[in-house]
Amino acid sequence: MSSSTELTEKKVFLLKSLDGVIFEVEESVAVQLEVIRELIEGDCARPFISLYNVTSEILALVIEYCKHHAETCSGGTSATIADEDLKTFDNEFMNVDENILLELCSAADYLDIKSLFELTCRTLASLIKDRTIIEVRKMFNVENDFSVVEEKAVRKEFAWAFK
Amino acid sequence: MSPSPPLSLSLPPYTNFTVILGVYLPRRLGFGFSLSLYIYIRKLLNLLGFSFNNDFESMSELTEDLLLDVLSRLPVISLLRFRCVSKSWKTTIDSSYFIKLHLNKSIKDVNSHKILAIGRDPSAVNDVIFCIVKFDSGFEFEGVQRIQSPIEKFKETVRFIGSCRFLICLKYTYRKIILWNPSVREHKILPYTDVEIEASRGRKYTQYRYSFGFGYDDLMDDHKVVRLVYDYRNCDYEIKVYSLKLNIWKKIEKFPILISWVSRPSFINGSMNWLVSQTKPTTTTFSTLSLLVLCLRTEVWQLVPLPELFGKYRMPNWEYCHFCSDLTHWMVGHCYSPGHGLWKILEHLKTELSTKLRSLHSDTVFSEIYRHRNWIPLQDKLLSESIEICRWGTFCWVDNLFRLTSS
Repeated sequence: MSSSTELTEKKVFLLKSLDGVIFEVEESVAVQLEVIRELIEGDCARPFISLYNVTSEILALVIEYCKHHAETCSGGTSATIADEDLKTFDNEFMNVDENILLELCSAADYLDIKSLFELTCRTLASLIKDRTIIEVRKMFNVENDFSVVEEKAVRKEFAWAFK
Repeated sequence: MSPSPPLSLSLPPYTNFTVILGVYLPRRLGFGFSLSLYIYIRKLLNLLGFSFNNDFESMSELTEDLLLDVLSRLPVISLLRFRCVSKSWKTTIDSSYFIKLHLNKSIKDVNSHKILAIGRDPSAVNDVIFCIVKFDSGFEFEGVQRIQSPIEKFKETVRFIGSCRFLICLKYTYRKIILWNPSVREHKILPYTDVEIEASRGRKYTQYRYSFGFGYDDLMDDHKVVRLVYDYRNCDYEIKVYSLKLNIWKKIEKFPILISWVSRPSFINGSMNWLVSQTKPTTTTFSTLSLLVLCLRTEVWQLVPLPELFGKYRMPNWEYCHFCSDLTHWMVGHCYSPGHGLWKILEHLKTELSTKLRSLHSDTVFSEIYRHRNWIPLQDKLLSESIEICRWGTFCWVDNLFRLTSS
């Protein structure tokens, strides 16, 4: 399958999600998924690529993200405008249900999309940073194994951080 | 978990409820499977009317690597609070692995880059104040936050020695040297070490001249404080290096030259650099300056001669040089403006000297702030916040969890 025979038509790849939904994506989008780029380079991308860890719901979002980034970067606008545009897009894109965010983070990790992984991790961190200890315990389903005295002592070490 | 019976719910695609549970599910076991199954079941229950109110429930489903990655992006203050979450969280946050992970994220995150400044309140002349100058992501001045001095005593004599790999070294009188991490608000007082210059034994410590430097040995991952003491009358000197890891001072074999004057050192590319004069300058003659270089990794000396031109200019007030990331800035310090003759010579020599120094050591870590910062406007902005910055008094660091007291 040499690339020279396909000069005129755009290459498309088929991605199959965990739940069997097949997505058609252009090469410019597909190569942003590091995992898939490797498969393409190794010529193992036919007939379709099965992604066992990503549901169709999340994969649709991931593809939307990659599509937007691919289009903005290749569309002849100046770098600063493109940057601004991506920033607004990213902000809106992150405006989702926390659980979706979490799945996006795992998916970005699995699919090895660095910019999306950065974005989701940063967003998750900003959602956590101002939470109270009790909220964090609940959020991460962590049991408090400190005794009352122990917890007090740990708290005292950096008492200023609690003010 | 037993395989669930085949279920098929067809709903419009790309909605939150696109759920196709079926033949593909039991194929793959492991992390992805259990996470997805868990989410499916949750959504199924959601559809059936059970509500999951507690947001973020599945945060606990993050793999350990992902969890660490998210946590390492949190600000220091949040992490210090989250040490109370559980024993394992405390162990994680205190671990050297996590501290490094967090530091590497901080270095990349402009929002954790800060400048620490020592200043004076113009209304209360003798009061030294410490403040953190914050910048936004475009390196524009954002604001000032005053912080407490690590030691309240001797506050009026405090001097910056340096900032390196995210610790700050301060000097309170000649005897009291401290290392400080403003992020976790911890400091460590260095043990006292005597002056042992043979020729001038018995002098009082005030009769010597001192030059302190603060650097980092990347090979041993160790912060080092260097103290050069010289007796300008006998042109004799001694050098001692403090290692934070070992918590001891060590006397270093000195380079065989006589020293009559020495600048404040600058830590560049893994080496401590002093401008030294080997002969005493008088009112009519100028001294020849050289660059004395000590590699902190190997403790090997080098002497880089400087062109004679340097001697043609009066001895500048090198002591107040406060830029450490770039040789030119360091040389020029605060005393010379671009119109000055010496500046031009330095500009001319910059490339040659930088290359020379860089070849001694190639790795350097410094904050982007130094590259973008314009000193004069910053000073004006601080004045508007009623802080008058001492000219030797600014250093940059990034937020980090490095601890100075062993728990």
